Amino acid sequence: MTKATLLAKGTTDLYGEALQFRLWVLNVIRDTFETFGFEPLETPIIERIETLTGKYGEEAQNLIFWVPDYKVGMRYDHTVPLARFVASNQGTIPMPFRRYAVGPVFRGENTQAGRNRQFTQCDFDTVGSSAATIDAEIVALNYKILTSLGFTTQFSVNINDRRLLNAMVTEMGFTNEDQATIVMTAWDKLDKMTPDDVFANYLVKQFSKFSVSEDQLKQSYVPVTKLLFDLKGQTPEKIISGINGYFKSKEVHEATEKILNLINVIRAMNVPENAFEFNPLLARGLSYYTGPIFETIVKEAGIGSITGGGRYDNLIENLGGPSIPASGSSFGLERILSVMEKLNIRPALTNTVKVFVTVFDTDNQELVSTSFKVATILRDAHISTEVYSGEGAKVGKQIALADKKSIPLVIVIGLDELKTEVVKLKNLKTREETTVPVKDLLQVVQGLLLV
Amino acid sequence: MVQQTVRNFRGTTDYYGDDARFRLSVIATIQRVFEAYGFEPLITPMIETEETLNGKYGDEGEMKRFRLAYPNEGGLRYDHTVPLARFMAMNWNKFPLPYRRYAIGPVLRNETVQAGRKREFTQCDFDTVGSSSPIIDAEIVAMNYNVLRDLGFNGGYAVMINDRRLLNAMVKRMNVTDEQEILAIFRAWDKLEKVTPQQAFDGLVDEFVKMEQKRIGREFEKGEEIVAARVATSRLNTIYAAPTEMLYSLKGLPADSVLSQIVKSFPSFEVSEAVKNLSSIVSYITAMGVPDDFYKVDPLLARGLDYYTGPIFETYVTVKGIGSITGGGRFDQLIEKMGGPTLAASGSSFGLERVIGVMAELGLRPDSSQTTQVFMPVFDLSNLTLMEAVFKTAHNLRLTGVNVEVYTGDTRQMRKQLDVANRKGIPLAVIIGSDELNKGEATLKNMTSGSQESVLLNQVPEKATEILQTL
Repeated sequence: MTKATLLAKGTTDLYGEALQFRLWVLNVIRDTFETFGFEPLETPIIERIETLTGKYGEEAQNLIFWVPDYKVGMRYDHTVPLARFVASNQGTIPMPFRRYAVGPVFRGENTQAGRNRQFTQCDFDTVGSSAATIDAEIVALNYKILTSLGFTTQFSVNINDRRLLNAMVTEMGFTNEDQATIVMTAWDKLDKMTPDDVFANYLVKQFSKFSVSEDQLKQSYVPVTKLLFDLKGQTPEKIISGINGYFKSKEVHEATEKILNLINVIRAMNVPENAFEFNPLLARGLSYYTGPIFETIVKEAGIGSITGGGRYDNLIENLGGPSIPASGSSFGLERILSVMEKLNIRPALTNTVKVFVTVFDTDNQELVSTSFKVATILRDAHISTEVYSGEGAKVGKQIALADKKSIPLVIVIGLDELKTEVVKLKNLKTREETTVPVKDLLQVVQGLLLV
Repeated sequence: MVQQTVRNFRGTTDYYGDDARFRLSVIATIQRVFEAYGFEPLITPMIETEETLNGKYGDEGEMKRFRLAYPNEGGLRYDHTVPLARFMAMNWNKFPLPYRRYAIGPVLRNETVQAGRKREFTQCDFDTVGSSSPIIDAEIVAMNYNVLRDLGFNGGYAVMINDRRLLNAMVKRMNVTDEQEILAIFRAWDKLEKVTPQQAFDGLVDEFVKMEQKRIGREFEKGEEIVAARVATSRLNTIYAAPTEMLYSLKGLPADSVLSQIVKSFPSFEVSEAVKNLSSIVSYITAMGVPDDFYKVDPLLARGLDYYTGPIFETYVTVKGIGSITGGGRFDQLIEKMGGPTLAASGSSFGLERVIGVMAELGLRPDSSQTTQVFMPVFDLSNLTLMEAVFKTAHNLRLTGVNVEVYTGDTRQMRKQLDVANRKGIPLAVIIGSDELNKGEATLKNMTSGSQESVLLNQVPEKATEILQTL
């Protein structure tokens, strides 16, 4: 058996420094969710087949992991379980219900493309409110979390609204729903492809099945797209006046007013202007959004979006729940980690184990018991302490082990020390060694760990 | 319309509100103790290959495993121990030994759902790999004690200790050599924690009868079953009854009396060796400062899993119907079985849901674990000056570490909004309306007592922190 086959396809083990880094990021995300008054919701890893079937579209349905013997499947995202939860607990949870969910989801992705089959999503959603506050809060939370993680100005939360997109394509004459979707998808591609490329290689091809000539398409699509593309990056007010100047319909004007209102609430939440932008070309793939949509882009990283979300006022009903508005967003943990690595944003993480206590002679009961007593003093003060737990190695070897594990402090208790109630304290960084009375040990160790 | 089918899979649970927060706080305590003892985290995937899972959990495990269909053949994690062994088989040369890791996360088993038994539950494991020193076995008891102490337990439980080698040596001394019979006797002994000696004996007779039937390889004919039962009863009366009665009478006695009695009653070299090893573990446990009342040597403890090779541990609680809240032991051959090198290992696991169930029974669970401390109502979203003042105050409160929910629902009525805060158990409301804003003030309302006071906007964080500290 080769070692690689020991792991299931598309899964990894997480340990060591990479895991410490990951846990630190997760903590920041979770803490920020809680400071905004979101509460945890833990749904199971497995859901009944009925809950998962017909919720994600045909392509996604094929990626769900099934346990056929028990008619269950593995969690594909946190949104469907949320809808199932809200549906089965109506009347018992106070509305608006604000919950966060942090945990693994499972998809049978193509592992050859470097995709994982188990990855972690960090979602926060507010259910039971159509107020713009909860949409604005998405931007405020994205901003707060990313800056807490050490990002400064590398990211931008892109904002748009499905109602604006719909109103614009309708006025452009794309009243057929499939055509409208194709136009929006074409716009969404403009952050990765040039306008000419999108037109020739995506739009024209997609429209070949309709009786729309390339000229007709050019006439209705190109001027608007050029206008929106040129407006990108300007202030929200300028973009809105550009759109309002071109489009005449009431629906477009109403939609831009809603966006301006949303942006003003975001500003009231103390989010600086350079952290977000109104991007009228942003569409987002998922079909269930009904209002504002959001995506956080880190341009330098070239990795696509690290967060995505929006309002989905019909989804919970579609998933079998009550008719109830909702809005929320999700962080892709693995993507954030890889962006942070690329941009070299890393906190200074140190080994969690701070002190290593040697065991001189496992047969000397009194000696062993003193080693443990000393460890207990430190552990009760929440200082992570490892007592040597291998088999009878010499003290030199034990210290070498501590060094290998990057544990900064070593305590040696031999027979001499035992008699005089002192310990030898070695600082492995400075190589200094001092003798400390047991009663002063905690204070001395705390002092050294502060440095 | 709500469909009746909208529910979770039987044996799985949604955790929210106080339950979810309390779970997280218990996990945090457990994690802190694990780290205090120098264990580092390891997260293995929820999915393992069929090769990894197959044949590791005994007949029961084979029945209870969740197996995946295409697109990923394999199965769901059944425990943290086999994944650890698989991980060590792959990565043993990357770590200085002994390698000490902890793992906290869900595992899945198709259990018959009943109180205290779920299909998805959370195990919190710690294990040391690469050492056969009895120190790491003793540490299991010390850590069980330490975790339970930090969770607020002060009695109501005992960590039971035994050793597979002692069990094997004892049955050998009883002249039982058949592997199936040995396992049946261990199962009967293990049951004595929950059933009477007579019930355990009767169950064992039944098992022996079934074995006899297998041996003859056909259905019993008329009368044969009664004869087989008579034979089994008489045989068990000879080999099993007296030693079992003796061992049963030792339950609850101090560790050293239990051990010296066993040496007397089972005179054999293997038994003395096993007892010697157990007494050295007991002396280390004492050295680690664990009070005597919190652990017992229980020579009848057997534990179900096949892979244990030495000391085994279980924590029993006095709360009825829960059984054990921790379980573990030494598994010196499992990593080699996975294709790794020969590495001795020992560790234990907390069943999170069971620990929490016991805490509720013992009154160790706080009434509320609400973490949101301040609720701020919102009256007029279109009044941007007002909204700015509300969000700025929320921002300043959060900067001082206070968790704040700004009302995000659709009603404008203050009463309805404060009702939400009340139902959520948020202790303090900070109210900024137009009147307050004109005066540059906010109203702080204590949601429990109903008392309120006006505070200048820039003093809200300070004043709120002060009030929260008195609650």
